[in-house]
Amino acid sequence: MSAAGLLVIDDEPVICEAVAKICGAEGLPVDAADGGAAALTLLQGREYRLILCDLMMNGMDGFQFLAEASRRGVAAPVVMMTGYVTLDNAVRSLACGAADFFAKPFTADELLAVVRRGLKYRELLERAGAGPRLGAAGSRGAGAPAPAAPPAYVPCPPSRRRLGYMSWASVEAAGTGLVGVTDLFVKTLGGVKAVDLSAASRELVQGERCAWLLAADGSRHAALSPLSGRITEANPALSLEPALLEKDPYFGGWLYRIVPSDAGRELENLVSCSSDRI
Amino acid sequence: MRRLGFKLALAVGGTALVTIGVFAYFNIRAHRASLLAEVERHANQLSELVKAATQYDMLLNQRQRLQRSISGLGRQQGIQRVRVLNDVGRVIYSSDEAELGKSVDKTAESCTKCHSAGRPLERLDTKERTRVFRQASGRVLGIINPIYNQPSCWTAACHVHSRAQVVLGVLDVTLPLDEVDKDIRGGAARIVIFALSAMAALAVIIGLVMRRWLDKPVAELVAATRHVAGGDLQYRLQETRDDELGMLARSFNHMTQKLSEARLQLFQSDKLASLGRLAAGVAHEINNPLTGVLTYSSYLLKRTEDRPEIQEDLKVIVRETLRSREIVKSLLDFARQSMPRKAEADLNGVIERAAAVVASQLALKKVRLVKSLDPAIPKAVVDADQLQQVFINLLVNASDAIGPEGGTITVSSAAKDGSIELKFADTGCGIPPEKLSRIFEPFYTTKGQKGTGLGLSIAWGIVNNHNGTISVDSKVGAGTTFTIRMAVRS
Repeated sequence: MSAAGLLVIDDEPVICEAVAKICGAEGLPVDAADGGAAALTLLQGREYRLILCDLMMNGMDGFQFLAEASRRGVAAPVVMMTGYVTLDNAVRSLACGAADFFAKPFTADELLAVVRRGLKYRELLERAGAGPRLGAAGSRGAGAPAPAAPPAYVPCPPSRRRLGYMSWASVEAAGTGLVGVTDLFVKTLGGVKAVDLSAASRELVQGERCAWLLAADGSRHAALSPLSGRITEANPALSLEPALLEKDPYFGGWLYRIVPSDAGRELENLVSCSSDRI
Repeated sequence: MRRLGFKLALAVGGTALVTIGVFAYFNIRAHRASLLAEVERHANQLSELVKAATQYDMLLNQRQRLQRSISGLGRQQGIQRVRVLNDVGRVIYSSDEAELGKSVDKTAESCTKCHSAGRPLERLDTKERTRVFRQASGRVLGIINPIYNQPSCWTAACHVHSRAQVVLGVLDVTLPLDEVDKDIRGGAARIVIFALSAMAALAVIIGLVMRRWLDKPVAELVAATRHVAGGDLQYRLQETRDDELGMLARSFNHMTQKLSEARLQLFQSDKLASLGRLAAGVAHEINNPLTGVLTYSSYLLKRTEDRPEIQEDLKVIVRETLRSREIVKSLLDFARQSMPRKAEADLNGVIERAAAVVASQLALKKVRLVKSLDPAIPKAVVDADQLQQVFINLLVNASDAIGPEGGTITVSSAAKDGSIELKFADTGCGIPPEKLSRIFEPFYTTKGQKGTGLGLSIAWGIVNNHNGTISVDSKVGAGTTFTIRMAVRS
């Protein structure tokens, strides 16, 4: 069976229906499961291009589903859906192998942007010939395989740590932090036409939107902040030359310099780029 | 109610009564004694004078002349009676001729001094020769002057007295004391009047003083405690006095100030904690239905691009749902004030780092940052990242309060009785009192659309998590000062 469709897992029927309607209208067939167990049953019979999974569910929750899917070698990237309440958990789910996440409530466009990005990510993975993206970082999930390196177009320096495949952070000698997006994230957008950065002195929260990137196709995508802290400087070069994000995402294309508010704890949620080099 | 003033007046009045009374008593006695002594001296002198004046006639035994002289003396003003008694007590000369030849009773009052022992005394001190006794006409002073035998007496031609006799007779002079008594009574009355008026004046003065210095301030204090008991912790006493009651008033004001601060802190932390729980609960419950509304309405919006008549309405639904999402999100930002991760840190260093972060922003706004940091402040156990966020927040707020023409922010640190005090003072526009009490409330902002209204309540939460306090003082047009106090070991 061809892996063409999406699987949405949520114990709230209205969410499943909405996702099915919105994605269906875009020509993407959607199967729905009201929990992790039902999803695993569906996964036994067919493959999906992408899985959308609620993090907090009765019965098997998102983390357990991730671990189980990883154990069973499910190829489809898993994108987590979560309320703002459980943002910490969402960020941790990335370290547990989720590809991406987005916050409820969401609009149709936000959903489609995430789905398109996820599909593109899957495509990039397949093109690079890499295996499934699932895995664990650090101490989490002792039995799970180590996170496989995403296909790198511009190598991520070992001093950087990344949030999922999307953004990276590094702590500088002065204690300030540098924040940016990964080459892979820019690739999933098919290039960036413009960057909309926040002003200095604004607070960033790990896992929350920190910038809007305008993709080549005109869709807007939120870049998620890898660390919490207060912005001291937004990269002035980016407004003049958004292409820096593609050409030099890890140095010249940084987004913000921040004063991290909780770097010690939050860095544990990030995966070191040094593990990407095999 | 027995008032303190009344009791004090009673105590002082009683003391004054005893003091002035004792003083008056001794004064009267001394006055009396000195007057009597004067009369005694005068009587003695008079008696000696009479004796000297009659001695010659005595020697010549001129009895008629003697009787005439004595009668003449007895008529003098201030002398009641002059008489001479012989050695057996018969009156031989007297200004009162009726008693001539009579014998005096040895037990009579005027005689007891000498004859109390039953036999005549031969020698007497001047003091003992006088006695005061009472007659029908009033008090009188009698002085007896013994006439001793002398060689001229027994050698005189008359040979009346033999050489063996010691005392030949007694000159007895009696003076009335009515004048002196009047004088004594007058003096005593004056002293009593003085004592009474002194006591009355004392009572009035004490009464007035008590009213002014005790009753009034105590009544004010009582009124103030009623205000505070009624919940008005903003009530302040005037601090104009420099006595103990003034001290009490200042102490009272300090107490109500501390109470109101403590109440605010307690109220605030309670409010924030319950708001945090409520926010998390509401956000959790509302997220899924909100997702339904948002996804369906935005989906409809996409599907009906060819129908402008419903597009507008759908846009309103999407827009308002997005707004709800932002509200939920900011509620959760506020609820998510993580517990601090503390380590020993130098607060001056944290301030320096915060200042470095905002330096360019301040320079742009023509704000001068003055740092008056005490290098001797002890290290504190704090979450340096969180506190840096607080300091940056205060610095940014301060620079926002300063207008386009620029101003000064003064940051100071000092060690103060076991804690560290940090002050962030600006020369900005100030905050009016009615807004001042609300600035730590979540979602309260004076910056309009520019602020979320969460900065200071988050700052408050962070300082509170460090067991510190943050307070604000402001004067419209003069500036605002935020004061953070933190224990060295928090």
